[in-house]
Amino acid sequence: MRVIDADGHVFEPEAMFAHLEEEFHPRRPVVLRLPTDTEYGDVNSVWLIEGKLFPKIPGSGQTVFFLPGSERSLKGGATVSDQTLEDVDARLAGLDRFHIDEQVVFPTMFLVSGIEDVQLESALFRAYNTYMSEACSRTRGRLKWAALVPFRDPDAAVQEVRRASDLGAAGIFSLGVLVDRQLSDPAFFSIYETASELDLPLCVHLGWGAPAATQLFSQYSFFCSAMIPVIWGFTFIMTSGLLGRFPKLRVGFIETGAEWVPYAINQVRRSYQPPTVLRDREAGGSIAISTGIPPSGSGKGEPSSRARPKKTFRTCSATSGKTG
Amino acid sequence: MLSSDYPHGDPSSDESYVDKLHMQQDVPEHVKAKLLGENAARFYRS
Repeated sequence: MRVIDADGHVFEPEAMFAHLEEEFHPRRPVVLRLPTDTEYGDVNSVWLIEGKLFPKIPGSGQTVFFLPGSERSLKGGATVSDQTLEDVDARLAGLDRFHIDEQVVFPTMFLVSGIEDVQLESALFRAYNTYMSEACSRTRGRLKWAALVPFRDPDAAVQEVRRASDLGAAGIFSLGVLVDRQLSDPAFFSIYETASELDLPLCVHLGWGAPAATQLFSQYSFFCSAMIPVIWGFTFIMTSGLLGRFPKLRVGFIETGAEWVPYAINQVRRSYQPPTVLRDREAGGSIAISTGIPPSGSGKGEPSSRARPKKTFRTCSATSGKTG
Repeated sequence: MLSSDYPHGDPSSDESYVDKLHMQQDVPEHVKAKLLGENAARFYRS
């Protein structure tokens, strides 16, 4: 049995941005180290980009992620070179410990939409994809990555989807909302068409993609402003006829659990008129849900209600007709 | 699909999910195979 971890991460190193084109070099993200006795606590590193700091821990607009080598990140047990994939053998050794054969890697700092200049964002995404391609190429196929593309510049995004495909990407990364646009926005159709053509699935991942929503929360942001937008993405994909328009497109909802799926499906059924794939059995496409095994399960008794794999499988299978 | 979230170590993470699922006796083997790899193999481009 080949075990594939559907969602792992890279902590982006500053070295990643050595891949930036020269004109963007002065605007590259820079790491600032903080004392551990500030409001940031053991999240004692931040990125400086466009004069703003990421993550933003205290106050409204909270986002929560860690930089490589921060006190908090080291508590997870992974070395810095494992976190950054600068030593891919360290990552593979970690996967061996967990009895995982392959892992699909997603970003960390780019789980937040905070870059204003689309051209800079596009350049950073190109650097990310180049770095990840090179790192994954050293792993004999055990590490794969989902590519970042600049949805806010659809022409550039299509170009980057094609480049990422050539570089060996396993999918296309997205957040549940793309700043102020839903995933069903026709502006993105050319991206979906290209992804379909190249057999690249759309991976809708947890993250702070909607700055207006992010701004609302000063606590519980991991759930309120990072997880919930994935359900928004699900809603707009399932109610827009998108999967009928792009029948070969595969869409996955990543790192958000699966307990919400029956609730969301029920609400979509109650609230929307066709076209929806939930009512149109002829519609194409397929969906997949990435979740986790309940950590509280003893392994011998009943699994906890947090995420029952059997139920998850049935829910997804019934919904998509293809991918459980 | 199942995932570890490694090395984030945040509330979504569970690095021992493979062993936990293997020990769950109420999940059929063919379902475990789908959850642990077959679904992801079909979803992601190889």
